[in-house]
Amino acid sequence: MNCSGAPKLFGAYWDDEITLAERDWLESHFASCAACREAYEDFARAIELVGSLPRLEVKPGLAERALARARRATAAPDRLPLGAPRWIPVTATAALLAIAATMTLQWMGVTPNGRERQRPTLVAGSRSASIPSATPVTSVTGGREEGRADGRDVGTMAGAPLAGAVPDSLFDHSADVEFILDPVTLRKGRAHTVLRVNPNVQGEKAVITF
Amino acid sequence: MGVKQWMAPALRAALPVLALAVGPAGSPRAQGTLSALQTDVDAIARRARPSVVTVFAMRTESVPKNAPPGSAPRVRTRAGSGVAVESDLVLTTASVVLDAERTLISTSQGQQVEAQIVGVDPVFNLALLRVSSLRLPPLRFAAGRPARVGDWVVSLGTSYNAQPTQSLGNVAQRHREPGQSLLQLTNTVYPGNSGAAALNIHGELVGVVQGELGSPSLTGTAGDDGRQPGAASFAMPVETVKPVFESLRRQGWVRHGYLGVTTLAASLESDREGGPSTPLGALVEGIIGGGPAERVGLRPGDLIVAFDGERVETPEQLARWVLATPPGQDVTLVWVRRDIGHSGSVLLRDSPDRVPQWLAGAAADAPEGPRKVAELEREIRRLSQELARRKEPAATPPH
Repeated sequence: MNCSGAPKLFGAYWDDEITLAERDWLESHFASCAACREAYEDFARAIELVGSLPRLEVKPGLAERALARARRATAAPDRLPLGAPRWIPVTATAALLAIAATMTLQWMGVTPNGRERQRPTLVAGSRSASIPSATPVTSVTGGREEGRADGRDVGTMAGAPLAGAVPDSLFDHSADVEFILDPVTLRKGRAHTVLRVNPNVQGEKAVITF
Repeated sequence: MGVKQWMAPALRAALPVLALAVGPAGSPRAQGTLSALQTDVDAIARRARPSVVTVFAMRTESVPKNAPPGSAPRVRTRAGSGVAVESDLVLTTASVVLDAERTLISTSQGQQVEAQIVGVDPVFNLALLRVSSLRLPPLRFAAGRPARVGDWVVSLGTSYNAQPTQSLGNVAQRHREPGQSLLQLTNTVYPGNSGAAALNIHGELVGVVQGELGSPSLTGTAGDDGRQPGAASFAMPVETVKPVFESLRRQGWVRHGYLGVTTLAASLESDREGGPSTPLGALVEGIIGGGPAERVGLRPGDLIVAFDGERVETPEQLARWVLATPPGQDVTLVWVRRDIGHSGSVLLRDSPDRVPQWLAGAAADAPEGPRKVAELEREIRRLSQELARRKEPAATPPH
């Protein structure tokens, strides 16, 4: 490290969060480099100056207001948008529409049952929609989902044929399946995943090259 | 038609709709913090679940010598979790796919497809798989500040029978080591969760689950399934995962630091018989010619005790730190020679081996012939240096 590395350590040195080696290096560097020493003194003076400034009293609730404003301005939401829709206005509108529709039908003298058979099926082609078996459905043919091939029956998983799918189930061989959860060692506050060492070099007298 | 005549049926038709609209509003609905938490966790899990897969890695074991004649080779399967980070790329841990001959992934929908190994790195314990016959919804890497102690974490993985597992917890601690760090989580993890996703409150990937504290085989007190649940779980944070992932995607392997030393463990035996020995450091056994260790002045017989201000206790620890440090970076070493401490700054070079010989997986990657030759070359270099070192005191006059 040289003069360019010294300022990076000022903050940690001030907070006494520096490693022993860094402290030794920085202090010996200060002894030999007047420029860095002066730079550190400026840094320390600035921090002390800021610390000595009088505390400003603010109106109650400022922090909450500022945070709320910041949250609104942030692109990433603090909380995920709730899955539940704002249903009250939706249902109210639906109710009003239903009333209006019923009134119109009554006014025209048409019974709702008379029109039902001609209503087009809106859910055709949607795999997830449940379609009553009594209702005739116009199915969408030739429709192809992304990444899936049609026609080839190479193993049906979850009801959908899939190119390259593996037909046999692995779970029949449960005795030979090992479910992995790696051991992690924690020693003197340090944690690391236990590396899978080559069996030929294990042991106290192992010689390793790196 | 009179107004009253049609108004009555119209109102009758509208009444059920009105009842539906008003009904739920009239009933009490939980709006507390817990229900909000439940809603958020559900939303995160629902959105991320299709990105979490089960990884199966199969390897044929050779027939043991003492097996009865005619025994068929046994196929062993290792199962772990994986996370889609691009529509055709799945990240998992190296320990799941190590030495695998065939790799499959199984989606949350139950679809099983073949996967190809793009790259494996046993040092960072990560592996990248490519799934060409399926498009998965990728999870985003967390882009904001690194995960802090106290942050909420949702872990999503799979366990026995590829069943989904989910757990909510916090970052309990952040363990830092040179070159890498690990997040200690309060989440419960299950067998098969190696490679599972650790997500933040925005549903972004903050880490890849590695495992849990301790090894069942070491404690020997585990239950029937060889495991004592409830211990601390650990995830590799995204700051470490991302560069490794990018390197694996780009070139199929990861650059590791290289010091150019061969070391042995050195420890101080206890006074009591059978007492624990105290590890002292990494004893230099040989120096590879032209390597960084030679340039900094290390010699056989030196005891390396510190790396970048961190106390070195075992050669394995030092090797891990060297390997995890990117090549081209300056590190400070402290070593002891004849009871006198020395220190020096050394620029790490690129490791000549993609996977170090002493780590598992080297056997699968390197053919038998070249590996033997490389080992012999190394041994010849080591012996030449040893010879030179022994000749040195005789050749050079004492100061």
